[in-house]
Amino acid sequence: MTTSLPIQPVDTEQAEVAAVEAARATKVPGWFVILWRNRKCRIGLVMLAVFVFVALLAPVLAPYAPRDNSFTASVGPNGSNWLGTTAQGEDVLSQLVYGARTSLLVGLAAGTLSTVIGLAVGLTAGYLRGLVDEVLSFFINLALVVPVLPLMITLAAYAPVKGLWLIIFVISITGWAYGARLKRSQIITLRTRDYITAAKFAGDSTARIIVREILPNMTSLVVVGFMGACLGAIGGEAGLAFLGLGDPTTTSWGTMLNQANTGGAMLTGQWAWLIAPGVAFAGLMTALTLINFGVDALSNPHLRED
Amino acid sequence: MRYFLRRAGFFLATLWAAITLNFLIPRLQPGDPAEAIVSRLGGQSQAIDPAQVESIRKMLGTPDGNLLTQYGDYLAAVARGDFGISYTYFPYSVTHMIGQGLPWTLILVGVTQVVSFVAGTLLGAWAAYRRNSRVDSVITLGSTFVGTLPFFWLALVLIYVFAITLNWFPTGGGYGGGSDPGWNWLFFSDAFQHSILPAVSLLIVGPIGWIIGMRNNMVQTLGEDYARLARAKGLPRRRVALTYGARIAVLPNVTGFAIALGGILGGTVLVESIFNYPGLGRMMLEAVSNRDYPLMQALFLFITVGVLIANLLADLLYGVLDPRVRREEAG
Amino acid sequence: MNRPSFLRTAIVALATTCTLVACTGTSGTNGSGGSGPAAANGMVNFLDYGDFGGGTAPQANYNPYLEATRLGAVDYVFEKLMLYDNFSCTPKPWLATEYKWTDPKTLTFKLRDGVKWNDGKPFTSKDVAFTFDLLHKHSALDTQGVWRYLSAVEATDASTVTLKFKDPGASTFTLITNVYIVPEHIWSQQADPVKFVNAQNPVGTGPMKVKSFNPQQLTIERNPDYWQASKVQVQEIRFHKADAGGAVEQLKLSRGEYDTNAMFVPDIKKAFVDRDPKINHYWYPPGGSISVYLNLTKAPFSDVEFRKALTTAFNRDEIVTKSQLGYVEKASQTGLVVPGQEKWLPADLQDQGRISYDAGKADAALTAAGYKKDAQGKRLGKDGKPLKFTFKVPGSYVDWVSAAQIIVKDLKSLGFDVAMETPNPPTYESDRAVGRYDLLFGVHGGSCNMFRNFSEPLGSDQSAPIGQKAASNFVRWNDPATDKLLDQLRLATSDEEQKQAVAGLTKVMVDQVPMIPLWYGAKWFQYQTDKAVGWPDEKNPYAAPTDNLLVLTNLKPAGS
Repeated sequence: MTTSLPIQPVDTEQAEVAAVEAARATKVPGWFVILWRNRKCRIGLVMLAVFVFVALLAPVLAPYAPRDNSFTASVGPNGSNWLGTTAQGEDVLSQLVYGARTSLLVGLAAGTLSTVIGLAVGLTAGYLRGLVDEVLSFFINLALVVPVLPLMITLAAYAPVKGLWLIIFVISITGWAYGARLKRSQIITLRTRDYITAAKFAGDSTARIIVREILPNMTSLVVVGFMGACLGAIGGEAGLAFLGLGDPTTTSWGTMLNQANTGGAMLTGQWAWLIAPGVAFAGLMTALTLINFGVDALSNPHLRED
Repeated sequence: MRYFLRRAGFFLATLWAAITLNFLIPRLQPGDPAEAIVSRLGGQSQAIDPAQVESIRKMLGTPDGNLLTQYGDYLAAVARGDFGISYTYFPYSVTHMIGQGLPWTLILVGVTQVVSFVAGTLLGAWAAYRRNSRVDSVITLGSTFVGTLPFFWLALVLIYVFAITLNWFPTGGGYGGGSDPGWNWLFFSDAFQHSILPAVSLLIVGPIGWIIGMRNNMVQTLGEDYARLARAKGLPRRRVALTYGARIAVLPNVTGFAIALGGILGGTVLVESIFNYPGLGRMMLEAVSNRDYPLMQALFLFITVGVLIANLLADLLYGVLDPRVRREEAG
Repeated sequence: MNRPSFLRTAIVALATTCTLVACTGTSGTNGSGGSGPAAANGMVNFLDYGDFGGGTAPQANYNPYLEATRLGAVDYVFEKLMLYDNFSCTPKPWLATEYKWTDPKTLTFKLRDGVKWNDGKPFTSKDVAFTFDLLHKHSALDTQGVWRYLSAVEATDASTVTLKFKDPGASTFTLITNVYIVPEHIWSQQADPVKFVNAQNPVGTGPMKVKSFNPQQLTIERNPDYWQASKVQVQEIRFHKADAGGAVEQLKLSRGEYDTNAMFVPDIKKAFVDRDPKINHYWYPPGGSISVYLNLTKAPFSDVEFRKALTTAFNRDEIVTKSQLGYVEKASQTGLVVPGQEKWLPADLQDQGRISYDAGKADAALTAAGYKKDAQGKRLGKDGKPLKFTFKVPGSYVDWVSAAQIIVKDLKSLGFDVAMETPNPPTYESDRAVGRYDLLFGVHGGSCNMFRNFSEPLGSDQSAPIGQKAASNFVRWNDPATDKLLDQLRLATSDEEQKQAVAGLTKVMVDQVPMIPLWYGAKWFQYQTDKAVGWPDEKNPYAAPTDNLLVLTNLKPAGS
């Protein structure tokens, strides 16, 4: 949430289209080739794979159940609890391993959800233009100027039931607008292309044109939007959980930090409880940001490394 | 002209939407602020005293009339700048409380934002100028890594190391209890000392967005035809970078900065609540958790209006700087 | 461009310091008490207290009736007619030296001679009558709700006040004596006393005066003209805004920056006491009962046999040690707070009404009551369908969540299909008030007013139909016999009568189990004895830690 302001070059549009068309020409999933060719991005992909691996195999990798509170409370790292225990007597390492699941799930779910919302709104507005566009654009702009963090806090604090899906929902409905704006402006340039006009004259339906002709040309933009949304969502979940607005029964890095902070980790000297979730979080964010470098290069050929 | 009218129209429509949202939020919530106050006073393990709830309910008063007349009254009050009385600080008014918090937030975040912007833009320009060199890698990779550290965690670590372990700085607050707020040296030096850790934590993460943005913009502008032409004409590299690259690349950053300044108030919740800084961000969190609707509504409105005005200014600025935007929107 | 390297250094530095801390711990020196324990005049120079209320950005507010927003100095500036020792629930003469019920509906107070307001004006019966009239006129200030019971208050002569009640008023004595008395000559000048913040030199009769205030620190100083000035041996008290709450406050406490505080500290022994066992102490006397509330309008909770069977189903010891970190005591099924209120207990009760965990007994009792297990071990209702319900607990109350987890585990082992839900506190409260729940936690009792302790959770007038907000009878206990006992208690004029009614009510609690008390909420209290001694503790519980004036008048310089 405080990582980086979403500053984008003003007219990436042409560059974007060029990249997409280049990818089309090679007939391979062009975006992946570009990603893999980028060294930073490659490192990021490998790191992400490690996190996914840990998350998927959490029950195997974690030494104990994350909520098993049968250990001595608030002890530092030792032989049986490699990262020590929490004030409730739970194993920090096990929570850390399970926390990877939560973060990835939130990133994936909220990233997908806000991308889908953004895509739907952006495509409809951009393709139909006219009054529909006016109305939708108003909502896009409205969602862009409403301060996100205070809105998230308000929504999360006053929702009747706490839970991971609430957090995902809150993050999604506060984070879709930026992608929608980009997608809208791209489709505006795409819809006047010759092949679209040709498809229209051939009698194709609007839905078919959007799905078959326009969407494939927006892959990279969708990927960019998705990555950005993932980053934002993971950060958002951690921030909300840290402020105590998450679900304390969910094991996530944010709730771990919140409980470490309120549970006296600094006081009892149980430093691993405080440090570990932050480092894990930074690792995942680094992986995603490194991938984002490649994705940026995808949309902006000037940034490519050769 | 049409462009500017549209912008102004959007401004007003959004303002109305924000005010209406503000009006609705408390009315959609379960629970009763009076009960929330009593249970906060007693803590979770004390029985709630119905007599106390009743007296506090009377103290806060209840709105009259149906929803529509309440809405009308609310709009009229907002137009007068009357935001009512805070529940958390009864009988002090919301306006008084915002006046208490505003200078702290403006100074802490304003200063760090400006410094972050300048430093970030310069570093980004340098990285772009020395593209693919060691400097570039260090700046981009370094800022990427630091940028991924969760801000609140960074702040906690700073507190742990510098305030708790080394005891160099206070753990939080805007000033110590020993100095009285006012125009005196003791207070200023005290306040300055208290602001160091929060400012440092903001300055560590603050410039990163500007660095990446500036670098990418400038790499792009340096690749444009006019920059290539200038190079081909034999102009010195440095001059091309400054006059053709940086000057144009900084434009989006400038408008971004305007928007960021507007967003100051909204972005301070985390830093202020961790460092317990007496600004508006912490007050916002407190108002939300205390169901202090008048204070929360006013702060939310304040924050939204800040962003709106900044956006309006940025748009207008952009319209002036880049005529293409006006034509496109009108067409 | 030293950012990344700076960070690396910071992390390395951090790692090292952390290890050091983990090994040795920071030294437990006394942070702010640089000066000697006692000043030249044989007094404690100053004491550092914890938070003083008023939110994160406190504003000057010494209106004692604005309970939500007033600052902590109020309790030292204003006084009451009688002062309750809230541990043993005995009243001590304070502004009034004696009281008398001339008839069950008439109470007279004889006021203390020679008491002065801290601006020098004498304190008289007119001030007392004015105070009660003020609360009558401005019901927003009547936080005790005394005018629900009063009909008139008069100053009979300069040192006598007579209170007339609508009904026999003995049960309201704690409320009447809990009213702060304010000076007529100041408060009669206020156009709107509800919005009066009393910010400049608040005038009261109390032992302390406001010396200085800023949002970070509130300082009060000794009032040399106090009517029992010789008992006040503390020159100054400094309240400190609880900065960041949580961890930082705990750290300050462990460093010795507070002479007393009242906060939750995980592992108090390691974090505080062990730093200096000679001077660092804590005492956590019990407060109200925290109970499992069963929705009595639903089957099977409406069945008394079912409820009785559940009383042995919960492992209270595990809750006390695990979720409550051993800071609290198991609660008595009577609804009374023992041992403080043991004089109210009926004589024939085993272990003061504390019930032990016995899953086997619960299982047998459930089966006997008609709730059998099926072949898969699922507990069935009387209709033969598996019993399934939810346990609600506010998600942000970490210790309650942890206690709920133990309860859910215990219930599951008995074959119930129980799910835990974690709504946010306001939703939780509103669900509880309107009866939208199966099982959840509730808090009741713990005050010195026995009528309140029992009428609030059990009185049918405090209940409401499901879907409407109940005032405080959230389980919706509706029992004419209980109401009759409550009426007896309300109208009782003698101690003996009151005890009889309370004994009847504890019998209702034990025999009919309207709710299942588990543990007593703890009142946090930490203190240091390097500057001042005489704090209340387990061995000498002369007052509850929150009885500020009783504590202050018992403090003496250390070493004296």
